[in-house]
Amino acid sequence: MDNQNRTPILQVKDLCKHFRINKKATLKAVDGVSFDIYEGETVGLVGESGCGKSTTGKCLVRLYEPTSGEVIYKGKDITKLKGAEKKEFCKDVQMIFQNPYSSLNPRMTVKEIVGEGIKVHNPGISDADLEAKVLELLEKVGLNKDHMSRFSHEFSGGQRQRIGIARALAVDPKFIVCDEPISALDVSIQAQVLNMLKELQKEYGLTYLFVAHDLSVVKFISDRVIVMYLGTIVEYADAEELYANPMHPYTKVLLSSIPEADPDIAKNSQRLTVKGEIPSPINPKPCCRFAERCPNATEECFKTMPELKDLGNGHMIACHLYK
Amino acid sequence: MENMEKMENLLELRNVTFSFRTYGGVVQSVRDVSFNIKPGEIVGIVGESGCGKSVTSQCILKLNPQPPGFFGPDSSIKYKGEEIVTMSDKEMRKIRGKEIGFIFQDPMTSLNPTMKVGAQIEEIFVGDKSISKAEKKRRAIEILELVGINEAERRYNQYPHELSGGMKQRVMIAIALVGRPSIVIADEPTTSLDVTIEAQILDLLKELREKLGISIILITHDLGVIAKLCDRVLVMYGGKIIEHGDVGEIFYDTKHPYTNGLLNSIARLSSSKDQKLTPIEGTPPDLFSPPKGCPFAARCEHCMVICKEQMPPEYEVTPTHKSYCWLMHPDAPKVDLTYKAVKEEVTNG
Ligand SMILES: Nc1ncnc2c1ncn2[C@@H]1O[C@H](COP(=O)(O)OP(=O)(O)OP(=O)(O)O)[C@@H](O)[C@H]1O
Ligand SMILES: Nc1ncnc2c1ncn2[C@@H]1O[C@H](COP(=O)(O)OP(=O)(O)OP(=O)(O)O)[C@@H](O)[C@H]1O
Ligand code: SF4
Ligand code: SF4
Ligand SMILES: [Mg+2]
Ligand SMILES: [Mg+2]
Repeated sequence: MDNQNRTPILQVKDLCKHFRINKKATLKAVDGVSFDIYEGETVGLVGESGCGKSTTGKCLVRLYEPTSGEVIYKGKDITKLKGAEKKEFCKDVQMIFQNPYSSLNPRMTVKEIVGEGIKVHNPGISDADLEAKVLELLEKVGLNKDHMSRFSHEFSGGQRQRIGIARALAVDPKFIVCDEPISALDVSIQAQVLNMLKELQKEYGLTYLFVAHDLSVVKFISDRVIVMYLGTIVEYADAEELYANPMHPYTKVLLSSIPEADPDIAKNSQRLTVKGEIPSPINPKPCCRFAERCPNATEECFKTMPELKDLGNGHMIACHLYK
Repeated sequence: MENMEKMENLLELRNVTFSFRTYGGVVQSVRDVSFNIKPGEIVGIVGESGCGKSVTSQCILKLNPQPPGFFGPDSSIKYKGEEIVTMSDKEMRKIRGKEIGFIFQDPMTSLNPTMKVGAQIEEIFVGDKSISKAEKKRRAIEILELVGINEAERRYNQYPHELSGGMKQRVMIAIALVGRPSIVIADEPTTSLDVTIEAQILDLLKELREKLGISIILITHDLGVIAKLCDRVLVMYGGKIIEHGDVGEIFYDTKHPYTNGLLNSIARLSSSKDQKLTPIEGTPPDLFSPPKGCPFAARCEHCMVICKEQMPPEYEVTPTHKSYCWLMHPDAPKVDLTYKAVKEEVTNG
């Protein structure tokens, strides 16, 4: 896709989300993150547990107020939206949550869950119209009329995730943050949900930010991929390019850590491994966050933070190795 | 002849059935499962949530309280020729941890938060007067070093909350190994870990097999982990083993529609973006009233009349590869079950 002449639907500029732990300690969950997302594309967001993926996603849908930085949706800063504009934003931008077991209200029927948003945005809607709309949405996600009056706890994980997707679609969104929509599901069910998300995107021209820690899944669904490490973006590139030609030392390790479901490949591949574990995001040092574990680290890496730079063809990387 | 075969197998499960009595009825978690474990091999058990992987492995050490759990009448589990099913608690204590070790699914909940790491490792020696206190400590430190924990002496005196997730998992492995067992059962040892840490732990398990010659029973739902580590694979579905064989036979010469379904439903690094994943429609059977025929029948695209009526028998593909599917019957229609996306890539060339 050629993004040169288009304006992004969403721009994130130097976004920070810090949590104060106590007087001396600040947890920098997201620390200076910038990226663009264009209309109709899927951007994958990957990284290990605690690197700030969900926090980033929540800042985009205004579930979290950023500590600093801007989130610009269709040219406007979302924190400054008022009245009709704010309402439109709340309709346009939706989120599907990580855990299908806790994100649905167990005391509501499927009809109430999916219908809630429709009512908010169409206050005068008749009961018959509401029911018709809910049914249409349920059928879109592979559920049916019989499911309408049941409670969410009566459903399997895969079905619950479908209900969550129907709820997000109910208000005709443009942009959906999918936060690990399939990681709580069994592999045989994951494919059902993934295929469905792809089809819905085609049908409605949706834009996705797809958060996951499974890099194979992200490759399958994304046009471009962002790799995060400890609150920062280390690499952002076209999906094919990133997987074929990872450049950041952390991305290289991450990609080669995945056991491929093919014994010949998995048993014979020469893996890059990395020592130690992800350090704490509390009071991180103002240098490359990967420096302690990086096999290529030099003195400079422990002194200054590398900036995210475009190496040409839209491949962006934050590492002192690339000048 | 029979003797020789017995020597070859450290562990033999025959027709193991294990159920639980609950308020809702009887859950038949494990149904007529048979397999062997040979010295030094890594055997994977794969299948989706609730198919009976954990209960199967827990049966081997009788970790499930009876009642409400109970074995079926013909169940037999023999370790080095000795029957486990009828063994007393006292005898079981000589097996648990000393002959067969167990690594639990979740290190966060299975370590005791109130006890120091060292003490938890030494728990296996409690009441054993043949080993001195100093010797216990020496063995605990030695095992911590073996599982790759640096500053073992200091860690010995720490509490679990002072350790990272990856380190806790290493401690779990140390606990399973300190009694020098010949088999270790690892139930989803890496599921709660990040991929870079998972890679470290998988490498460690492999290295331990090489160094100590132990057998490992590895339970996972991740086919990548199976491909990376295992020599043999048991595929479970609805409480039963539906196919088993050498890892290459299972991945490249699948003879069961469920295994094939699993292989086709996962996204892979090598698959392209335009490819569509092939999901398995439907959901697994209810183990309160499992189907009388093939457990996969309700979701199988090749299901025939017989499949719903009668459990498929064991069919031998090779001496090491068995499938329980009516398609293997000589008169059944011929169906190609090889992983399809591989073929597409080849033809697109
Ligand atoms: N409300 C909060 N208060 C304090 N700390 C928080 C809060 N939300 C998130 N954090 C911390 O911020 C960091 C990033 O968390 P986040 O949930 O964004 O990670 P993630 O990348 O989504 O991880 P996972 O893959 O486990 O979902 C973590 O260290 C987390 O503990
Ligand atoms: N203590 C118990 N009482 C009643 N039913 C149980 C008990 N333990 C397990 N079961 C049931 O037995 C079946 C098999 O469970 P098991 O834990 O072996 O599944 P599993 O394959 O390990 O799944 P997972 O991948 O989710 O860990 C499930 O239907 C489960 O609900
Ligand atoms: S900046 Fe330095 S430490 Fe960081 S990834 Fe690059 S080489 Fe490694
Ligand atoms: S026995 Fe029949 S239903 Fe079962 S897997 Fe084989 S073909 Fe499918
Ligand atoms: Mg998250
Ligand atoms: Mg289990």
